[in-house]
Amino acid sequence: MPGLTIQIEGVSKAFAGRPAVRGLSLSVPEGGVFGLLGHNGAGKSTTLGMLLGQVFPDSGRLAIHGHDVFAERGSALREVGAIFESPCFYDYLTGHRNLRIFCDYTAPAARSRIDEVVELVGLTERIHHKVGVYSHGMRQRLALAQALLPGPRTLVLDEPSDGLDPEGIAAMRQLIQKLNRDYNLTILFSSHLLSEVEHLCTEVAVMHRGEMVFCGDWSQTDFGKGLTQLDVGRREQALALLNDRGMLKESLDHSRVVLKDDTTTAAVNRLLIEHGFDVAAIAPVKLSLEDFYMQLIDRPSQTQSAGRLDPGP
Amino acid sequence: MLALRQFRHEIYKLFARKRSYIGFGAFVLLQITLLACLQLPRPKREIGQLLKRNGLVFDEYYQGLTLAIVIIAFTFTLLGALYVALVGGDIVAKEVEDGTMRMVLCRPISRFRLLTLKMAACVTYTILLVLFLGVTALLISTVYRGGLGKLFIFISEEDLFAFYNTGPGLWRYARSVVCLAYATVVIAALAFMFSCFNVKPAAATILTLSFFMGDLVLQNLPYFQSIRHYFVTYHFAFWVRTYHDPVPWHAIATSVIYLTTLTLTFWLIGVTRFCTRDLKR
Repeated sequence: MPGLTIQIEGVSKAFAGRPAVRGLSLSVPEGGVFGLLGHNGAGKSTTLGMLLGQVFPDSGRLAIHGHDVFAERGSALREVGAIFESPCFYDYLTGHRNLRIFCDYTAPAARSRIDEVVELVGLTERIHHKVGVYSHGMRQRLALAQALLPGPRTLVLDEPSDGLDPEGIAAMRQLIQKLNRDYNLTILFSSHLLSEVEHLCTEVAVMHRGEMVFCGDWSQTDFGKGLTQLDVGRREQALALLNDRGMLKESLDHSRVVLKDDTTTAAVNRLLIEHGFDVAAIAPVKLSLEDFYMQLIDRPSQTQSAGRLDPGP
Repeated sequence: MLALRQFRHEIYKLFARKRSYIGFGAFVLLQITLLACLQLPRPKREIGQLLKRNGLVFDEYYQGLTLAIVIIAFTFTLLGALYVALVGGDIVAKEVEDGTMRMVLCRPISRFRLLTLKMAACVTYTILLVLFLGVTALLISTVYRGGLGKLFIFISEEDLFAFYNTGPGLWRYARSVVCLAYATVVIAALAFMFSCFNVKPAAATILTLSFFMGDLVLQNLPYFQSIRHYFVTYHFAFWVRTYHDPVPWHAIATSVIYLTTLTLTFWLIGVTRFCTRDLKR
């Protein structure tokens, strides 16, 4: 059973009386890739800001590797690397000088270590150029390099793929996967790109208007269970037959139905064929994280966790 | 050792920006311009008359040392305070505005330590700038006039009328420049303090300059003559009082304590504010 890397307990924060985060509690297990989702203004960046000790919470507690972020800032952040939505550097200095400056704020890194990390993020050829001439993708990679230099156990990434072209997004995804797989880094990242989160994350937390509305492994929920694509001739009669046999829970639209929990698509197919229906297609529908997210945002009434979400859209 | 390395980076960052060393170049240009203006017939005639009335030989005193003081007083008033306020106002606020402060504070460095480093860099820049101003003013005027000559200084507001031979004059000049550098730190500290608040860098600079200009104007109003020793710019001028003979050490010590207290207060207010504020884009 892995331990917890990040613990957020009952954290609230308001700016000028306007709540940004309300009673947030969250735990990130060690070794996983954890996604933080939410619309603009949902409270993701404020949460990450509090986690890095840059925004002071009004109440609650945040801890990394068991150390309180505000009471033991040094210990809490010692093995944490972080990058922000728009990574900012000293544009008038070279990438290499930037890395040295950021490193030296805590623990100087050997030249060989800097070279190693620069190679890992694929910036070797441009590292001695001024950051002002870097593309957005290069800046993101430089940001990742500075996050990796202290040899972190945990990475906090705020919108790491934001503004990247498709090639850059794919490269960033592969890099994150590599860091998690080969270096066993725990990664907490927020993103608007739901497909990226779907590819990368083992668990997600969804925030809506400052509150967490879901936390856990969304693929283990009942969401979309029994949802089936059914293309069949004489549809109305076919649905009536399925209903009579107690196989149908709900008919959604012209091609999608929700089958009862104990009903398989094979059994439905067999029954329909036996009764002379022309079945063109029948298959379980695999819903995306986007479907899941949109359903949550439409009904964010209470916090839900894996396994307790209402089925089907 | 790590602190030294961090301090070196702060200085490097400061001087890697064009505007930091453009200040040095601008000073030299202004000094040359002023020196050229002082060679025009009218200023030469007026200073010559003043010297003659006091039984002093024009050619002995209208040389490097005397002109350097005139140049330093003018250039500092015109540009010195501006550049120091600009750098001090930028040092924190610009990094917050650019987002680099958030990147830095992802590291387990305390805000107090970071601000102490920045303040140290700011003070170093200020002192270097004023010392540079002092050295170049003397060099340029000496080369231009062909020698150091004797020192003559006259400032009516300070009841200061003094003349010295080359050796003592040079010593007094060096001492006054060091004192001016020390006094200027208070401008840097005020700009630093404003920079720690949630304001734009330009706002920190403008607030600093407004404060000092306002203080200077009020201090010189006849209504406030009896309380002028409460004004910052009154104490700021202690560098000029080092030319008095005998030197008013008590008054100078009072001014040094006043300015030091003020500098530490500004720094403390800035640090306190910054250590308790949220950093968010």
